[in-house]
Amino acid sequence: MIVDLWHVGLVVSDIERAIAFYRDALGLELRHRQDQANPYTASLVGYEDASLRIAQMRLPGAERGRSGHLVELIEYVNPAPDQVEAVRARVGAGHLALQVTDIDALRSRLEAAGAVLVNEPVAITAGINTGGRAVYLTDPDGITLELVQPPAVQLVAPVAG
Amino acid sequence: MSRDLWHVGLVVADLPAAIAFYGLLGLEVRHVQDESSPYTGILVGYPGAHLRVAQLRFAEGRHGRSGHILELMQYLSPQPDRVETVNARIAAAHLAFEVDDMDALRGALESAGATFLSDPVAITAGVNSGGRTVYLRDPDGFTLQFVEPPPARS
Repeated sequence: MIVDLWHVGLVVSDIERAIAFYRDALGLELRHRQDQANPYTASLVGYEDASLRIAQMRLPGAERGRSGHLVELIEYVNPAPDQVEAVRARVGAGHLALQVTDIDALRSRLEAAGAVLVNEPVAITAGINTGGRAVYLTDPDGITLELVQPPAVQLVAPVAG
Repeated sequence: MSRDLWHVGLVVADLPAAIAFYGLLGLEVRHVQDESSPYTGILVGYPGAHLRVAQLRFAEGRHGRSGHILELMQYLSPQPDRVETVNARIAAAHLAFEVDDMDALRGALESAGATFLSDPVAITAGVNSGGRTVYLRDPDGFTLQFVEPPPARS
């Protein structure tokens, strides 16, 4: 059975640039780095002679699972990674959504670091997060991120009695 | 500042099938809603977008403020495209779960359409040395990873 989330892994083109983006712009902390070029890694990812550079990033102050990190950034040194156009309406496409406190301040920092907004932040006017705000953006590698600023007073179910 | 994870979102071809698959992993539906209001079209970047969304959470375990960990999204409009999944692809994502017995999960997941990339491998180097791990693809081609941490780790 699943015990907990371990991490979300993201393949990036340049580990140094990605660390700078996820740390300095988004506010995650670098927890650990390692290079992986060994038989178990090759079997795991399915490429003979795979060589990866890994950075584990964590959220400061947030509850952490046993893995100790939330995001795994991966640069493939070998094989050379390919790249396709990012399409959000694509079966198998993923996005990483983060809860934020100030969507406007953060979007400016991310744009300055090379992120591109899909559109301006929107007010959530329907559904269970009504009253909040959200925006989709792509990081410098085309990874889709979502920033969610929850409603100031999130509705909770009435308590019986 | 980023305070917490809100969710990981996955675009799926068939929402009921995906809910059933992730149910095998112990994730339960918290909420299902259709999203076709103007704000959704702006958010996802497709005017007139119509999505059917399911929020899933661990039956037991932590929930952030969002109340869910996984958002499964079926695009009713526009028609989603599909490409072959490649691990060594810029912007490729995978979702890794800590599990307590990956061998026990395997049979049921394969019967439900999952494909394991290899047998579980022993982690012989790095910070999780002593654990076991495996990559697999869900029925929509999204890459999942299972990690059994080393027993000594706490």
